[in-house]
Amino acid sequence: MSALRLQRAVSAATGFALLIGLWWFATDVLGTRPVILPAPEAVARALFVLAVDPSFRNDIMTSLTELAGGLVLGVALGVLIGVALARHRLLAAFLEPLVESFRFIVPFSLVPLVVVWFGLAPIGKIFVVAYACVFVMALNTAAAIGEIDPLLLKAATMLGLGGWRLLLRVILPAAMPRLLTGFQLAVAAAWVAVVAAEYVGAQAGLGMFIVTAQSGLETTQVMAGMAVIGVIGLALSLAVSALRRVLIRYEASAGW
Amino acid sequence: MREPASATALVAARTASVVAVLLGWVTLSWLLYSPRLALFPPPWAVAVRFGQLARTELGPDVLFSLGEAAGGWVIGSLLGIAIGALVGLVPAARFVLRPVLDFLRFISPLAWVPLAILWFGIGYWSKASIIALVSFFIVVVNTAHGMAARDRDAQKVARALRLRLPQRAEVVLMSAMPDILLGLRVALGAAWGGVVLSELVAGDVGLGAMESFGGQSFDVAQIMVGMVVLAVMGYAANLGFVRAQRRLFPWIRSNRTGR
Repeated sequence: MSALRLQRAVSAATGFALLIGLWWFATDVLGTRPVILPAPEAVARALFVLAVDPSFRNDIMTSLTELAGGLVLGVALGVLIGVALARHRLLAAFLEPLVESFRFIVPFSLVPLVVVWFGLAPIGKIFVVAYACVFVMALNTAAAIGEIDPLLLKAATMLGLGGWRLLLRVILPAAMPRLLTGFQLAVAAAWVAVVAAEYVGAQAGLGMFIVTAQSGLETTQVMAGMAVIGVIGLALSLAVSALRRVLIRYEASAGW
Repeated sequence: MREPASATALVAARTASVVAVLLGWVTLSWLLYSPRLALFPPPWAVAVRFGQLARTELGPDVLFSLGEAAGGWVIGSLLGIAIGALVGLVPAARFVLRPVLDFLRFISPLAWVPLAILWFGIGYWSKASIIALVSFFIVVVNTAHGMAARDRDAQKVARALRLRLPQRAEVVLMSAMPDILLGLRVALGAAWGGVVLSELVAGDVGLGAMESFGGQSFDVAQIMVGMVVLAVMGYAANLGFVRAQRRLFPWIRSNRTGR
């Protein structure tokens, strides 16, 4: 186990050394203009400055709040829709045309709409984020429940479980692995949507931060903001993996 | 819990969903009606706006957006297949590239929009590069996965039969093809998000720009036209891809799982 971990660490170190090396080569040896590609050390310095900047902390908190709001809304609604799709034929017949048509509406194409509707308030971003993850969650929930071994359900019914108890005690644990896969995808989609929704018409947030820096031609700030976005995305993904290990210890992780 | 439902009831439920959408839309537009600002225009107003736009700017916008999506998707997919094959087949490349790709993947491609604008301006390439990036990260993961999980027996058979190198490459490629195609299809779906977002941030032609102009002039009907046209294009692209895949690779049964 530790040998594997060591190998991974070496692999990551080699990869990043190569990346930083290429970057350094491009800026210092080829001499690209800083507005096109700033030096790695300039971006690192910008990150240190931003770390103590209260307005940047406000940007991060705004983005995380919008993420949390949209995620809770989208995932809750998605799970409900998914359960209905998988377990109730009449409701499924009602919901399926809705899901199959509305999921093709690109969530980002809602951005100008919510700016007109809600102005610069975070509620508009929460709407976009929830829209971005509701269908992923619904389809994965439906698939997760549909994949459950029918014998398991029959056995549970025979043993006298039904209704909510069947849903909570049998269906939910049996569907949990795929459900968490859906959740992982939903978190990733939501984080993308947060940043994207903040590009246009926002008062604070990481998306607004990098797009403002771009219009001021401050490439160093743009790249520092992107690095922060990446680190938060990585942390979110690791958190979901940890949740996965806690909730379903028997299931191996799905890597690529 | 699973209620038995008759065929007529199912048809009725499906019809009810369409009716519910239209009715809900009309009701909302009636409730939110204001003579000065159409915040929620009724369906017919959107249809009228569609007619007006179709006669003027919609055609060029659609063509421009399509061009960006197609160009970016093709470039990103080709790069993704090449790098993905490298990662999937060569352990050394996997060792070096995977952590880098994993980290870059977490900076969502759409966060590159400001950087792409700084690099390429607001023309075609700033959008196409974003779509290429979106497609690349999806295709590279799926290709690497498909190549790593290739059918080793088929590979051995190919070697035993003393097939030439191009044919042996074909065996490996076809073994990974279901995964590659899944990646290509998901990337095609994700590309539209890149199109609309990068045009929203900076663009003067394209559907995103059209929506952005609609937003600036509080013309909600124009935004809705953009949303619907994009959704139809995304749907048509997906359908076309599935049809083409069934025609070209009829032996692939199920690669529809996943996202």
